[in-house]
Amino acid sequence: MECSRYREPLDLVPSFDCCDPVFTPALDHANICPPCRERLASRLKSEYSIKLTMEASAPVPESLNLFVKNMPSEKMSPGRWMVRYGVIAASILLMATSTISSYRYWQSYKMEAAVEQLRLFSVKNHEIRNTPEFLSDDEKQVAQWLSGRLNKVVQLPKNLKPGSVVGASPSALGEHPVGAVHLVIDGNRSTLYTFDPSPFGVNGAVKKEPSYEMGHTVAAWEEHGVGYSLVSDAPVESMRASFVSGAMR
Amino acid sequence: MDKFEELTVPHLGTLYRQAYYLAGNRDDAEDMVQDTYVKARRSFHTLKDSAKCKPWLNSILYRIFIDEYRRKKHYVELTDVPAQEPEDDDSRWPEGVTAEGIKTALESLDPKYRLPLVAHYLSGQSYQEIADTMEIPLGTVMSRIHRAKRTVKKEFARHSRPSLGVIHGGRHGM
Repeated sequence: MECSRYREPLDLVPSFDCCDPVFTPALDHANICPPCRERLASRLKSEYSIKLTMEASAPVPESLNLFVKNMPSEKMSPGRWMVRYGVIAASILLMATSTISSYRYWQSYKMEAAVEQLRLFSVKNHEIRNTPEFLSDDEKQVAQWLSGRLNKVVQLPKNLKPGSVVGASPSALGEHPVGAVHLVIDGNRSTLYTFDPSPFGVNGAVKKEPSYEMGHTVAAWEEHGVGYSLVSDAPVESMRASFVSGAMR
Repeated sequence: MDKFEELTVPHLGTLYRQAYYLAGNRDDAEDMVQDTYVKARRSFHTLKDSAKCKPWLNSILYRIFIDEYRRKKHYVELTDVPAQEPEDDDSRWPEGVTAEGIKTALESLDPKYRLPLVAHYLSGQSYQEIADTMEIPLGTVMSRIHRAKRTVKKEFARHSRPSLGVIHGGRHGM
């Protein structure tokens, strides 16, 4: 009974290594049990012989010795460095280019949307406000009055032909106060809004040729960092003709 | 001699002998050891402790053996599924077993039993070290080795018994 309990651990006692404490109870049993001791001794002797036979029977072939001793070093050759880092650099460049392009596209999209919004505000204001607070056909006086009213320098565009101004009033495009110049184009009521592009986030992006939209002719442009949007009841051709150069710059 | 050679060449014999008894022939054994050294050279920078070079090389060899066996057999079950336990007997271990007899007996073993037994006889590692190298529990290593020993002992006995059915001129298979 006792013997069968120690059979497996005794079969595992290594013949060629210091004994693990896990085998101590089995070895203690073998010390007092002659059959188990004899069985263990026989196995250890036989297995030790097997181990020696295995070790002696497979000499390392000379070809393997030569292979190991002549193995090329794994130091990376210049070519491999170039390929590896070339691929990494190309990947980074591609990612950067892609990111910049996406950012630019997004910015451009955002600006276009803001300009569109400005034009929409301009059209709505033109439809609502039709009485100038200040009446004058002198462009300098109109600009001066608006500057005082809005507490900032207001300039009228050089690109628009003079002689059509009838007055001015303060207005707002969205949340931002702007100046509204009332004028007549080819006998039709028109409103020119002058604004700072920065609060709208459209610096350098305000450029829209005269076109017929929402029942009015609308144009937008920038001159020397000042934004203008012009809404008129006149047809497109008439608005186009009101520009100095016959077209927007 | 560079650092790699200095650390790995002393283990070449142990690796080759294990490969020989795992693969069962010299050509495959040589290929396995060559693969081991190529892989070891490539990942030598990952060996942080030079004292662990031997188990590190052993683990590469064992992985190559398992992969190669899987490639040849398409699939090898490496988990312990209940298999028929070889009967224990009170017979003595035979004496004077030849290298060829050992090789034949080992070939009769499933690789999952052959690998720990070969490692036990030839790698010079303890059961715990074999378990660590093979990344399996200590108990699993011990039970696989125990089962492998029983099977091998039976194989030795079978081949050392005189054949009665066919006349081969005496004992055979040794």
